[in-house]
Amino acid sequence: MKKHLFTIISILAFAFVLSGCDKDIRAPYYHDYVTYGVLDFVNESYSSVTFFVPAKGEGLPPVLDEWYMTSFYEVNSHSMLPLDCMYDYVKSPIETYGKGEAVPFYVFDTQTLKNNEWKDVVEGEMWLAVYTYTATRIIELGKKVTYPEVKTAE
Amino acid sequence: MVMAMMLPAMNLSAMGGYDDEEDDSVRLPYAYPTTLELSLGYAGAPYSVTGDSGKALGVMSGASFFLRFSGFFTKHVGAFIQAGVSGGEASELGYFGALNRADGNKYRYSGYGPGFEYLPMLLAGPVVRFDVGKVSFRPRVGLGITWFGIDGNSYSRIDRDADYRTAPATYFRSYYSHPENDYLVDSHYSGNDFIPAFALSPSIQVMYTLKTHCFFSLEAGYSMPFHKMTRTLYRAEAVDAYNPENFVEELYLSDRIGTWTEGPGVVADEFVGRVADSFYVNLGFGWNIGHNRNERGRYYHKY
Repeated sequence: MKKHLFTIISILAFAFVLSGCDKDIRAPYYHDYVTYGVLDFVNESYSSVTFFVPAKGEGLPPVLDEWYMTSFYEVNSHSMLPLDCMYDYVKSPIETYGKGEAVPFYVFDTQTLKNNEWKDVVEGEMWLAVYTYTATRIIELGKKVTYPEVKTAE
Repeated sequence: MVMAMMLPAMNLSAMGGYDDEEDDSVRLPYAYPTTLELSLGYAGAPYSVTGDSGKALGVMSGASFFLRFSGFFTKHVGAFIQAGVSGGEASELGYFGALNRADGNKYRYSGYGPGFEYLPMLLAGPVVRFDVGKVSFRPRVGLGITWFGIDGNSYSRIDRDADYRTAPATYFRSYYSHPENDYLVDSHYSGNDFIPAFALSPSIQVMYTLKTHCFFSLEAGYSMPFHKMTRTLYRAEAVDAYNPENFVEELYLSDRIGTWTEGPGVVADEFVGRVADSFYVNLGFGWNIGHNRNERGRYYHKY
C-alpha cells in the first residue's frame, strides 16, 4: 500500500485539477445579456400598490398567461422600483409599444389583486388609477411613474 | 648644423615611432581598418496633410539608434553593416497646427496624429572616407531590410465659432493596409503588425578622433523603406445620437437627447509609396579597432 501512495495522491491531485478546469469550461452565459434602466415606479401612498402595463392595443387582458406575469410591478409603501429591460431577451408587454405611442399604466391595490380573481378585477374595474403617458411626458416627470400622480403642467 | 637638428625627427617619421606627446593628426588619417560605433539621435519623418484650403507640411518626430561596424579594404573604400531602430509620431500640437493651416484656420480639432516605426532596420553597404587630421568624412549608402509600421490617425473637428459641447463634429480617420491582402497595418492598436520592406539609407558622417582608439561622430542621413500601401481615408458626419425605435428606447436613450454621434462614413482608398521615409541626425561615439596602418608604414608616404 505504501509504495502505491504516491501514485494514488498523484491521480487524486490530477483529478482535482481537472475538476477545476471543467468548471471554467461550463461558464454560464449570463454575461451575454445587457440590462438597461427604463423608468422608476414610485409609490407615495400608505399601502402597497401594483403597477400593470398591458400589451399594445389589448387593454386589460381577460386572462393572464405566463407572459403577462412579467408585467406586474409591485411597489411597497413609500418605495421605488426600477424597471429594467434586458437587451435581446424575451420582450415584456411594455416593449410592444412603438416610438411616440402612449402607454397605459394601471395601478392596483396589491391586496385587491391577492384577494380577487383577475377576471373580477377587470370586470369590476378595481384599479386605483390609470395613467396614460408618452415617453416624452415620462421624461418630463424625471423618468418616474408615481402614484398618486404628481401634478405638473404638461 | 641645421641638417643635424632635423635628423632625429626624420628618423622617427620613417619608422613610425611617435611618442604620445607628438601631434596625433599626422598619423591618424586612414590609420585604422575597422570601427565599431553606437549612435543615437533625432529621427523625423516629413508628411503633408491636405485640407479644405490646400496642403501643409509637418514632421513626425522621434528617436534613432543604431550599432554599426565598418571595415576598409583600401585607403578610401570600405563596407559597413548596421542594425538600428527608429520611430516617432506627430505631436498633437504639430499635426493639428499643420492641419489647421491646410484647412484655412476654420476649425477646432480633437484626436491624434500619425506615427512611424522601424523595428529594426538592418543595413549593409559601401562607405568611403576622406580623412583630414583628426577629422574623417564618410559618405555611405546602406541597403537592406526593415520591418516598418505606419500609424494612421483619427480626429474630429468642429467649426471654430461653435460651442464644442453641442456642435456636431465631422470625423476623420486614416488607415494603412497591405495592398495585396488588405491587412490593416496600424500599430496604434496592435504592436506586432510590422511589414518587411526593402530599405535604402544614404548618409554623411563626420568623425572626430580623440586620442587614438576613440572617436565622436555627427551623422545625417535619410531612410527610405520601399513598400506600396493602401491608405484608406474615412470621413463621417455627425448624426443625432438620440434615435429611438420604440417606447422603451425613447426612455433609456433619453440621456442622449441633444447630443451627436458619428454617422455612416464615406471611404476612399489610394495607393501610396514610401509613406515611412525619415531623416535622422545622430550623435555617436565609437572605437577604432586594429593596428594603426600608419605606424606600420602602409600609408605614411601619402602625407
